[in-house]
Amino acid sequence: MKLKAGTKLESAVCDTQVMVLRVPDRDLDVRCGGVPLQLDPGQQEGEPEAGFDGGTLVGKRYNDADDTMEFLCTRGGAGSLSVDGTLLEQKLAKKLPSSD
Amino acid sequence: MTDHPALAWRRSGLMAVTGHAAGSSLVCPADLTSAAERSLARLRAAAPDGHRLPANGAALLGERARMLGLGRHGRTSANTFCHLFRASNGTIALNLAREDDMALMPAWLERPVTTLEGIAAAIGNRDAAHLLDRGREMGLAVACPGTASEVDTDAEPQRIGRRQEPRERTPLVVDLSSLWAGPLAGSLLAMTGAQVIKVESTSRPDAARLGNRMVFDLLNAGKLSVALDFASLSGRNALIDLLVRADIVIEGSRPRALRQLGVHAEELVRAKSGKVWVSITAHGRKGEAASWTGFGDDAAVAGGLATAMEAGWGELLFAGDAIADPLVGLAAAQAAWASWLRGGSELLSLSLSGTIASALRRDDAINHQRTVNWQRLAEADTAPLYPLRTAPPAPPMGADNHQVLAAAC
Repeated sequence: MKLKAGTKLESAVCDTQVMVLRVPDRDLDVRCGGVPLQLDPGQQEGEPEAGFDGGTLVGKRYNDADDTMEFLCTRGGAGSLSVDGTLLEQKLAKKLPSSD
Repeated sequence: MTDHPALAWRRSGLMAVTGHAAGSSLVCPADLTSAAERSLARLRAAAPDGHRLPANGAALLGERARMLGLGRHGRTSANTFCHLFRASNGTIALNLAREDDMALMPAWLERPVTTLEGIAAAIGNRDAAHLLDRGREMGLAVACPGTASEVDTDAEPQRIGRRQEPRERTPLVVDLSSLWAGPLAGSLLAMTGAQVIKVESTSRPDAARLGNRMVFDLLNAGKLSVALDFASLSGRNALIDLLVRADIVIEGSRPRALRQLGVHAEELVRAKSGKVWVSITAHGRKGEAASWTGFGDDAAVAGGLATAMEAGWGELLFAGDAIADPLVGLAAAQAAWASWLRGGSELLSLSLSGTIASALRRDDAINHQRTVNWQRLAEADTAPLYPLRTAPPAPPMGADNHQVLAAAC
């Protein structure tokens, strides 16, 4: 599906909830635990598939290797995030300003 | 002797950074300088080398603005990062201090905005409380103008385990903090004779190193510097080892971030009786507020400072330069030393917004008439500004790794 910055998505197999921060303008197959993320919180069924069960951490941001997209985890869970079959990576904490 | 709050505001350099760019420089309608003087006086009275501490607490509030040559911008903060925006039903402060904050604006506002004008337009017809919730969830430094009475000041030390007998020796301080508030607290403790080790992550050093050198030196001279790779197991083990050894820990992280590193404040205090843990957060450690981020100017708005400006000047405005930071730094040093002297085993939670709120609560006469009187007093004042402090260079990052980490083995 085509996503929009600011949209919230829910995992179908764990507690994970993410917010879309940045996405390219094309269809993406975004999954958590190997199962497509959903727009509306539906019923959780099943569990994360093997290889997609590393878990997400609340407050952390996740991007792809080329940094073309970014998601913020707003609730952590047992599944891992993937796009088009490839796992997303956890980003390092935000750079602090040199003065605030 | 303490100067009148209106004179101290002007002589500290803060009046020059308060008010609209095209208008007069303004006094702050609330007495914040006395809070700074009070913390410093109490620290000086209690600490062994009190005479080595800065002479003037109010001067510490304005020294960064003077060194950086900041100006006044009314509804934008002195450092130009934080802005007051009008939402459909209120005002919201947004601090864009970090480089990638701007990249989050489209997600926050659900519109493709890339400029301040675009942000202002997008906020204009939105609900302030909704934007506040969403911004907090995203880790943005956002705040709505609060009043001091609504803010949880979180000030009671939390006792964990058994106290030590009151102690004469000087403490070992591990300073994990960055930017301004925590480093100032650490540097004040160093002046009182404590050994202070500044610990930084190699992948995420104190970004103030990249800022003004004089400011960084003022806040970090006299400390040892250790750099560790928090991403590696050995780095995290060395960090925990230092935190175990410390008599006083100063940190400025959200509790969740430290837990994700394996650092649990309460457990570490329980593990060594007498330890003092100073937690500096934007909005405290309680409930959801523990996960909200914030910097000096937006947290001051949350604590009620813009509202105090409105009471005095008829309009929500910023006052001073990230003033919550140095006020917390002074309060934290004083609180840490007092806790150490009474035997420690305490977790001290100081928040930027809460410290502003407590200072404002002590002043029960914030109103237009007094503000006008104070303004007259300050405008008639011809005394020079307080002398600026100078400091020797702070050590390069990791300069003392060998010495400090070898001592651990």
